[in-house]
Amino acid sequence: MPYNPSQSEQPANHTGSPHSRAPASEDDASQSVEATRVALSALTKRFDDVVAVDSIDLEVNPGELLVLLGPSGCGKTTTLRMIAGLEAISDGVVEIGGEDVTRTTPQERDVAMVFQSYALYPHKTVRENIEFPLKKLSLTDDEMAERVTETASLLDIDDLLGKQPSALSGGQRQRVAVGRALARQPSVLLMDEPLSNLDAKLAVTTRSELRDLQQRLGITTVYVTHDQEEAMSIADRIAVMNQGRIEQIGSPREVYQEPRSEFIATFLGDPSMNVFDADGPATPLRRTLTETAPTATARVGIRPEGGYLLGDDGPIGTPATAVTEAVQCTVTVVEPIGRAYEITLRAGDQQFVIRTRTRPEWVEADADVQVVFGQSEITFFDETGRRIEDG
Amino acid sequence: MVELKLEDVTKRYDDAQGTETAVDGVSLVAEDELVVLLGPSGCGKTTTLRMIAGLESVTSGRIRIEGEDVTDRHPSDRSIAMVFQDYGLYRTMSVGENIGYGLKHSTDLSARERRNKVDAMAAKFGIEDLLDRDVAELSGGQKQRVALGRAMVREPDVFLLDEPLASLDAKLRSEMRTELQQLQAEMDITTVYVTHDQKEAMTMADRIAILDDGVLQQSGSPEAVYRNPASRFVADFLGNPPMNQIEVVAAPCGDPDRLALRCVVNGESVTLLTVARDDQSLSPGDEVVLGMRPETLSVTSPPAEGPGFEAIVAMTEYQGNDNFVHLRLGEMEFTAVVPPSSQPASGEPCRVTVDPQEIYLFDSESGDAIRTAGESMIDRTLASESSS
Amino acid sequence: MSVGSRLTAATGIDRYFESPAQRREALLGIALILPSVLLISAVILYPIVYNVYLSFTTVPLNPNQAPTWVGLQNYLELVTSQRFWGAFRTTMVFTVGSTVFSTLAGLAVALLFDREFRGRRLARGLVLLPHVTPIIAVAFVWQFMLSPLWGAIPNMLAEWGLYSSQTGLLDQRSTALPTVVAFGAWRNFPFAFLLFVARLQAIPESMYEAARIDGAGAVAQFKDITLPELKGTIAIVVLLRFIWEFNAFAQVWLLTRRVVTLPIFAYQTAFANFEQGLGAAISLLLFIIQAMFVVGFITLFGEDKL
Repeated sequence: MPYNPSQSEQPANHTGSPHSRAPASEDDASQSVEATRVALSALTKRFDDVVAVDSIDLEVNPGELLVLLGPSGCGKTTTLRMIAGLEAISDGVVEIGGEDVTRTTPQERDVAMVFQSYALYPHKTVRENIEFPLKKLSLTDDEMAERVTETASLLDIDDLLGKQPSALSGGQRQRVAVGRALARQPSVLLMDEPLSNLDAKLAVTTRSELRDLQQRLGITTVYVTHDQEEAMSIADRIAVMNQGRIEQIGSPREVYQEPRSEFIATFLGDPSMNVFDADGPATPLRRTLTETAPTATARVGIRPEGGYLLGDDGPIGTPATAVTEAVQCTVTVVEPIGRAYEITLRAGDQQFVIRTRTRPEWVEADADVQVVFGQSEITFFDETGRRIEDG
Repeated sequence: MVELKLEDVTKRYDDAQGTETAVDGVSLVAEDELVVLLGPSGCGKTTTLRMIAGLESVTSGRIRIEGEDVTDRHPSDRSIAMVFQDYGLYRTMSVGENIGYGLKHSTDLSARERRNKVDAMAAKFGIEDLLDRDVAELSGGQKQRVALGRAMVREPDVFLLDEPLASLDAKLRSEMRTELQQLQAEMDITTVYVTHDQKEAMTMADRIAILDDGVLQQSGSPEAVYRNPASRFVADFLGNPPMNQIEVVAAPCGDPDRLALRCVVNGESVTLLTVARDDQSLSPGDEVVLGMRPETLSVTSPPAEGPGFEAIVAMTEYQGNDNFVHLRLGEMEFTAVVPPSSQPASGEPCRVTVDPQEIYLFDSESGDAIRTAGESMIDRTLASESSS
Repeated sequence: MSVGSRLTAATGIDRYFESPAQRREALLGIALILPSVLLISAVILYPIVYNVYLSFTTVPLNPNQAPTWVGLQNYLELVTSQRFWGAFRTTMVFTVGSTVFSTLAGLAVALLFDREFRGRRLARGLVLLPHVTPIIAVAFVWQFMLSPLWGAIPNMLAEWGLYSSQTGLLDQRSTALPTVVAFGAWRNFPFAFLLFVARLQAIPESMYEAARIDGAGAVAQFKDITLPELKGTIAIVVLLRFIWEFNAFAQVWLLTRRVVTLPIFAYQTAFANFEQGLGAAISLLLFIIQAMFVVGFITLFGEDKL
């Protein structure tokens, strides 16, 4: 049996069912407190001369779902693979459950990983796929069968156990991959873009199922994605990565509402934040947005939902705060997305997008409209791209 | 002014298992507009596009471009251009050669004229500096532009795009989407665009045509289809999060002018909402499917007295500009979209209300729409048309 | 700068010695590969070195006598010998001929197979037969088919008026070489076929579809898409076939004794005439000629494209 640091601390989990972690009753709920902490300190990965991950410090709280979010090539997957032990660590330390595991093999870390491609064994049935990681645990045949059954019912894949992976749909494969990861009852679950192979619709339902499952099991989870919507939906906290560094860590709300930099501000949000240079010809739009700008302001941003069309009875929608003066604009495109409208506007030679829940009929392409902005929703950035805090 | 017309186009494949109908009698007209073929994978949308391109033979039916029957013409004789999902760029040629290849083979232009056209097209897409590069050296966005340039350089009458944004990442995708829209609007060219992404379809299309299982389910402007879906399938496919659909029974309630829509929760019958009797084509005892768009639900937590029904908040997904609230009513789950300022706590009860004007009703067997939220809108449109 | 430090700088070893841990790791690595290095030296390097040594000696028939050092005498003898240059010419004709024909045949059959049809897998298996059947068997079958008395091929050729001699195709120097080339191409085209089929399947269908929309015909598609896509594979096939045909022994020897290529010449010299020193010199020259070809080929086509 491989070395397993959590074994001694969590005997109940390893003799009981995966359900025992679910807070179905008060007793069970208390067990989820025993989830494992993951800590990275000064973690670095160099490939020859390229620094892929640049000395990051990160603490994943027990039972938390932390998302590593960033554009491709930002080092998020490399970080995950270093936690898993699949990538040699150039510098720094990985701790899982208080143990330094920097120099140990993946088997010794008691982590499980769900891969982007699912990496199911194609010639094994679903049952054999789920059994495979259990073979290392010296369980009796009965225990093993019980584990598989429990895992299968947890993920609702009971009917699929006899099938080959090639006979499954994308969503089913994804579940099997998660099942295989969870069957061993690892103390940390790692997920590398687990939804990117599903179509948009399925990804949305699957992500809430994943979140639900993670909360029921209370398992510490590190989740990698480049999709900001997915990250915000699922995360307890998001660590936004860029060029091998963590730019900001915080709850989805914090990261969205108080981004530390222009990079984060424009990376999160759909449609993304409108950003303008603060200096330039004093167009009405620029004048309105920079009215209260601190002196160091180089760029000014406004989220699409921070702009409001002006109707006869004032702004349409409900601005949380005082609004600016109105700016005269022309509508260029109106895009319905079902639950809202995205309206592209032109003021002078500047284009920007606002998002509104309702659309009065007179708002259509080429219409002239007045737009106001929520005073507190205007964001200011300095020359280096950092947000100026009390703007 | 170019009209593309599909008349009862059908595609059948014969294989060892028998005959499979991939596209079943699709009729569609597109004129100087962007039509999106939307549907889940395997619905026949790509096959339809490939038949328009001439890459796939047509089993029965006709395809006409500007009135001319092109059904049996070679792809290069149809005045179409196509952008493939994987771009289909010639990997062993430079960017310039890629763009010029079609000119070389289907026009009589001299090398110099071809070169000029290629240069002009490259300038249009901002890839002048890449003309001598190998295709392999390009980024995803650049490949996309080269593919567009190669398609447009021949000045086709009909422009076909097969999931052209599928292989780009989210940021680039929304940039390219805007660019494509502007291009299409500027060139005013009849365009057929295939995608499985409902948001892409909603935002780009002049008209959406939704296919399922090879059959055209509905076509119309994005808003009209969204507000006035013909079936449960269409209602479910358009919109994120998708429409909540619950089986209910119409029953009399205290008010003789109204009917209650009730469903069974944990063995008890619960009234979800009441609707005016004359407004609905419903009679007591009817079993129907109630559809509610997530954005039309309002959630009050803690629950106050009033209309609507009580549910449990399962989880809230923060979206920045919206909150998706997942609600549980007995075994049933559904979703509400609320402003981000409203943040009901997980596990807490709440009251859910919906405006009876905003509901959809579907036949519980056929799935056909009985009443949609958009009907009032259509009434209005008809009224204004008849008055003018 | 000393040779040692230059070497360490060039190999980048110095970077691995930044910390004691890294040094230990590097030393461990060396220790781990050492046994394999020694074993490989023993079984590969020793025979080569010994062969080089032999080529400068005359080896007496008596195994108890040591070889006598004769310097370059063996080589001088070879470069002035008619038989050596004859064998060299034969080798070149055979190698180039059977490489070219097997590559072309392999390409043609691969193109034929690059589409869906019923029974494709079975047909593909059958195409491989010439290459996988034991050479001794196919050589006898060919000898049988080529027999001037009852062979099908001479009879057919005679019918068409192409061939009327009493002597068999394999028994006459002028026809034996082309026949051996044909045999080589027939036996080895499945190898080329296999590589080409695999490569053809990796060409995205959308490129051909784009070309159809662009109005390119079948010939243009082949010239502009297929051939450029196959360029690297063609280079590899030609390179490997050239090396193998150059060294080919059994497929010539089993068919006829009339065609003397360099490997056969070396064999005859060393083991029929028992001039082992001279034989070693021939094989060394064979090696040098081949090495020159490979280096020239790679320089011409570029290492990255192979």
